[in-house]
Amino acid sequence: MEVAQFIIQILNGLSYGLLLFLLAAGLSLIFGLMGIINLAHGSYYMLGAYLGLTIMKTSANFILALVGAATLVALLGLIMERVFFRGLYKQELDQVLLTFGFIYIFMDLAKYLWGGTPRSLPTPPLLEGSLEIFGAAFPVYRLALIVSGLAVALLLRLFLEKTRTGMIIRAGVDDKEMVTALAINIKLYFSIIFALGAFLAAFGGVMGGPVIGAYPGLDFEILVLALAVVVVGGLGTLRGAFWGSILVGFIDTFSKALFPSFSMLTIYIAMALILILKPSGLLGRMELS
Amino acid sequence: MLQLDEVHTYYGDSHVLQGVNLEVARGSVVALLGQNGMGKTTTIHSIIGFTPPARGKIIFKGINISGLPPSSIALMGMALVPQGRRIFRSLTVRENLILGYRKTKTDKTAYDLERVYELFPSLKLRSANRGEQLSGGEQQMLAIGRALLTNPDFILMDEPFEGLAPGISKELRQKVLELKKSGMSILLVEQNIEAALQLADYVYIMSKGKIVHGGSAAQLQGEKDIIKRFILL
Repeated sequence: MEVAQFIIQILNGLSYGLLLFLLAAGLSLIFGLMGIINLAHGSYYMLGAYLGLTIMKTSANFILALVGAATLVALLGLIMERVFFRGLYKQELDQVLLTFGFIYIFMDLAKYLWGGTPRSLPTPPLLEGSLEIFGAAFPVYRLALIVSGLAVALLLRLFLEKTRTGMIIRAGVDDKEMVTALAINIKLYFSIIFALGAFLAAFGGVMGGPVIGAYPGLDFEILVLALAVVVVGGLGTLRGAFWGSILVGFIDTFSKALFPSFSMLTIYIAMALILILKPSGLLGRMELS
Repeated sequence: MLQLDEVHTYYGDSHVLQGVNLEVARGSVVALLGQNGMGKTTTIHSIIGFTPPARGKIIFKGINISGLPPSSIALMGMALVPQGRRIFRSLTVRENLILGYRKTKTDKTAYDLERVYELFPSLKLRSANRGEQLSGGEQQMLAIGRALLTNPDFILMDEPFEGLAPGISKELRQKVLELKKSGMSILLVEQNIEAALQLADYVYIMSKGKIVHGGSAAQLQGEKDIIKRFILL
């Protein structure tokens, strides 16, 4: 691999990893706080991409598509949490069945509304074109993906570290029962983190739209990668989700470039190795039970 | 302040509390003494609402709180210093303290961060450290400080001296005595007879999910042998 190619692949891995982070952050924090693995989290991403496509077509405004799609999906997440998850805390098997069912509902809904052919979101005109890096071309849009992913990571970190809501969420990840003994209604924060997770996933769906597009099965594909991220990085922490995403982004990108036919296998090998060597993930605080 | 009337609590199928009756008068310290597995912590968890009772009444300040969520019960002026301390380990000492801070009183008996730091100076030194970096004694101070900052009228303390070195244990007992003198109502779970008799006005003895004996600390002072027998029941 030439130097230029190598750098391009690093940037590709970084942009893909940061896209995964948008998904994994919510997945990990929802699990950390509420003990729920939401398998429909990948569906939020896919619905975000499709909704973004529709809003973009009618308004031709990328920012509106981004914020609009993410807000709609956040609302969907909020309703799901309030209506369906409230009664299922600590009932893992029921949660898995429920969220698995939702995957199929959203999948069929998407096929019904947007058809089965793969769609692609147009790149915003401002971010079209490419830059030359050591003689190789790199799309400006991917650079924008990296920048926005880093910005979201920074904002999330500030939110968790510096705000009272963030402090309560961190305390809830440590010991949510004890938080309630301090006269704090933790269920309110369950709703906040669920809606935020759905928002970020859909945000990722729109951001990734010009590169990855929107198609049936995208929900599953991205879910598997996001689950790989939380296994690798560890559950319940933003740091774990961040570094896990970067790592999985790199593994996926480089293995696709080096040995295309085994690319998915390499991620599973990494997952297996980490589960054997450090079951709580690289930076996680809790073990998958 | 608090009254339990025929409280029955289950963990799944196991009938842990089998009709517990006890009372904590305003401004008094009451100890609940007994061996491991007799239902002391379940009693505490039933009162704060972690494990709501299946039957019976828990009257707090004249209101039946049985079945209310813990956050509502705590809001009424109850605080918990739990077994095992349960510090938020990824939060700093300061964050642990201010998390539940409520300014419910305006007089000088009210607790704020400064006053808790005065009570436990070592917490002030460690204010930027994370909960997981503290020693056992410091964690216990933090658990007590965290409870005080909710400005409660009543504190549940579940074995606050468990696993501490003798020196620090003695120091903390002194702090609990000071709290008692300030008029705080406390229900204290203990395995140690001496600690219970030193701190409490009234002592209940618990065995197999029931209160089997009770008496004032002065009265029980001369009955230590009887107490030991009761505890071993």
